[in-house]
Amino acid sequence: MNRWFELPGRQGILLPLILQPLLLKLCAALRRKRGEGANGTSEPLSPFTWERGRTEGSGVRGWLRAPTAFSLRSWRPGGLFVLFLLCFTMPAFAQGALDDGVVSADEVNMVARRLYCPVCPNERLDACQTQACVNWRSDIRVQLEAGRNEDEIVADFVRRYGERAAGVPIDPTLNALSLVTPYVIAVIALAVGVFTFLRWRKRPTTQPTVLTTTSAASPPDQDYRSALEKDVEG
Amino acid sequence: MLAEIGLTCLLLAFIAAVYAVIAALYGARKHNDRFVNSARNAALLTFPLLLVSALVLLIGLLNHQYQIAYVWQVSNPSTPDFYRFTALWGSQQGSLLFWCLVMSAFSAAAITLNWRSNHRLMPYVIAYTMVTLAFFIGLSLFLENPFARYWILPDNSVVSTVLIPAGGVAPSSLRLAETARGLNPLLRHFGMIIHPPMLYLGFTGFVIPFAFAMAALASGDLTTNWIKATRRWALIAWLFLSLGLLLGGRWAYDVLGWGGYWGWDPVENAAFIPWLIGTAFIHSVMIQEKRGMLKTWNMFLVIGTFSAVIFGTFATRSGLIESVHSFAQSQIGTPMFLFWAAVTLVSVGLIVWRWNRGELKDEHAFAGLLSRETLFVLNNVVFVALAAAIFWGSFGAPILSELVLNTDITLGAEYFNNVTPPLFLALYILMGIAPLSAWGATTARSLGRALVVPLALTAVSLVVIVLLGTTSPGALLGYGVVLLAGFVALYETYRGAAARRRKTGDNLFKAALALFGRNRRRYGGFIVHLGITVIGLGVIGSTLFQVETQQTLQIGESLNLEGYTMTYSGLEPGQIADDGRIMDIALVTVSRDGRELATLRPRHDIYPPTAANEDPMVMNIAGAYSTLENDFYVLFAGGEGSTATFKIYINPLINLVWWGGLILILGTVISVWPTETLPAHARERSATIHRAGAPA
Repeated sequence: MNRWFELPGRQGILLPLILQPLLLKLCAALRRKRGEGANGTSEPLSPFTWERGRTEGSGVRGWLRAPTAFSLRSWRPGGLFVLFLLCFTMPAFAQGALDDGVVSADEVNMVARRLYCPVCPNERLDACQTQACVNWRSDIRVQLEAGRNEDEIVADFVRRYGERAAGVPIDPTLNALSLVTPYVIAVIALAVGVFTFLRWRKRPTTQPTVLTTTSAASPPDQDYRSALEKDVEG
Repeated sequence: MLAEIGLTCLLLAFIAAVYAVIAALYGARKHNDRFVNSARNAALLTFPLLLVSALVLLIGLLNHQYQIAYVWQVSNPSTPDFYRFTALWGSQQGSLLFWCLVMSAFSAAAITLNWRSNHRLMPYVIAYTMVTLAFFIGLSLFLENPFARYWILPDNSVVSTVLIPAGGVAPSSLRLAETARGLNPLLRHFGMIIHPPMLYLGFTGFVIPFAFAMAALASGDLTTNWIKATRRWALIAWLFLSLGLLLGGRWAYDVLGWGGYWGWDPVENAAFIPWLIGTAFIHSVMIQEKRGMLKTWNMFLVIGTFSAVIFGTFATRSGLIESVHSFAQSQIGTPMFLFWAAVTLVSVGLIVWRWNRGELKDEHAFAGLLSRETLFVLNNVVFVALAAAIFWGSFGAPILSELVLNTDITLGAEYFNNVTPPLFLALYILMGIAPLSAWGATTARSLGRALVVPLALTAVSLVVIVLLGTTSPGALLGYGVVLLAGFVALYETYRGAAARRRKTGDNLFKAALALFGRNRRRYGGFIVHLGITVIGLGVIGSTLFQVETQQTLQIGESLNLEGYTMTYSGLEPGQIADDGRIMDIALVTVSRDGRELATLRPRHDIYPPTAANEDPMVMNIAGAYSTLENDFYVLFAGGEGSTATFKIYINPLINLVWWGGLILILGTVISVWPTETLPAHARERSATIHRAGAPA
């Protein structure tokens, strides 16, 4: 993700990208302060729970989708600050507007890239073209609009479809097993290499060999020159 | 009749292969040349028999013989002849037969060309190649027979069998043609014509070095004979495997519609792992040839390469892993696994046996930390560690997790992008330094001196890259390390040519040509390194700096991305192609700085279902405007009315991956190309001069 900070011409997206999660977190904190969704926000989302939350007025509130639920009086402490932040995030909304929603398709794909289609063979969710995956991407959009961050959405998919839905397991044991093992393998391989090298250095030469270059006893520079000479001699 | 001919040839090839194994081993044991010669003839016979068998299947495909179940599965009346030909390897049964054909061709060529020069090894070479071939023909014959046909039984049920069942009647050819399924749409691409054969040539090609290594262990001829005999075979197999991987990447980029060429899919990795171990082997054998060292290690590497080939084949064909590249689940999984385990265990057992007898001792000790052999060993360690890490991510962790923890996990690009970059960097560093060191010993001072010019060139290049706008430390480190390896290859070639020019007075170009003629292996190797450098630059650019966006546009509306402007001009829905697919084509124009560059036609190819219970298959074919700087790559994600959604990728430097591949191929061909053989009297004279001039 660090490339967003490095590439020229990205400033229009960079600012919203930084501010939007802050904005969403702030709103979630405000909701918690009001006692809304005390357990609702930790409850994993699904299209069903989302609908229930909206229609029954409990659980997660779709504040970005449902302006009628917004009351300036009750949100006074943070409301002005939210409006202030919105001024800075307008470029993001302008871009997102092209994708017929508040959350842009790019943001959805950014999360989908960390997930694998639960039913297709080894296909990333952002690339999979089946209808099921289109629906899952819509689900991600809904969750993003509800204020969930990437990690929470990935965790929700893992809860629903198992660890295979994530690009790397989120369970700490499986995660450690997966990511640490290759480094252990590399260290062991290196240790074996070093050990073998040290053993070989101690070992005397067993029998003479006709070398194509000069022998190891020659001056070190001579070896290199001789090798090159051999290549170029007419 | 056609199927009977193919089946008979397949059966005869199986019998010939089994006979060759028995006769070769008996002949070797009894020192009976008649049996060994007979084994050779039987081994050579497998090739024409399998060729006829494959041709018969091809004729069946081209002549719409839908009673043959394979033909019915992979073609239909609307399949163009072009794809009927490629359908030969379009599914499990046909590709197994094709695999056998390629393996028998390699075996026949190796046996014929090495018959005189390596006579002592030959019985065992025949035995090992024919055991492998017999196993694969056996799979084709008994489990995945491409000549099975459809029959209607008296109870009106339809069965697919090799032999005619009692009371079985052939179905109406009209009905068969109407219901034939057609080739998997994913395989209807130019890349798929060449990609599988290249991969199979690469895979099966490694059976030759493996068979020679095992022959050396079995016969006790543990000199460098087996290495000299197989060096070229190993390079040829490596060349084809590299080509297969590159073409596979290109196919994925064009057809799979996700904007990239390498997804770290288990099947891709299954082909990459043997390539990595094979590359380690190609480097490591040089140490044994030059210094008489690493005898045991080279055996392990060649076994590892072949074992990885068999395991990869098993993983792809058994249904062990799910992938867009793999074949459907099949019953060949268990026998393939058993064969893989048996081959690996027997081979390792042979090494241990010879090692215990003290016959694999090295002739030299390592002289210094910076000697070329030490750096080659380090390079080997990194290659093997990389192969192990990729194996772990693709197979080890998912299988272990499922078996032990009963949890199905995926290790995707995130895992590989975390784990592999440090190892790739280490490889490029070694690729840069090792060619500058000498066999035997090198001092840090002389190595440092040799590095001055390449380092200076790298530093200048990095300054240019920074001035062009790249400031990410990670990217600069990657570019620096990769460029250093390339500059070393160029500089070493230049140094050699310059030295020759001083000696002979030729111009630099002529001197360089003469240099290549004198030592094709060394300078072809430098070109390969140059190719790998160019690929590395492409991979870094396209991985770290890829930009993507998804947007919905109205007709006439434009979007801007990285200096490009893309305008949606309209949709051509429901276009019907010759092969029956329906195409929804979006028209977009790409311009830059007000200048129109191209009109692209990203499209959806919709393949109608062949059965009532199936869904249509949709392929997302990209439109791309390519330059050396980047690719403007557009996918049509869907449209409604006057709006259409597009997924657009800017893939910087991606074309360097393909250009680097071409350079790599050129370098390998130069390395493999036979050196002119001097007449016997000239060889003798040269040897006398060499002996007289050799250092004490």
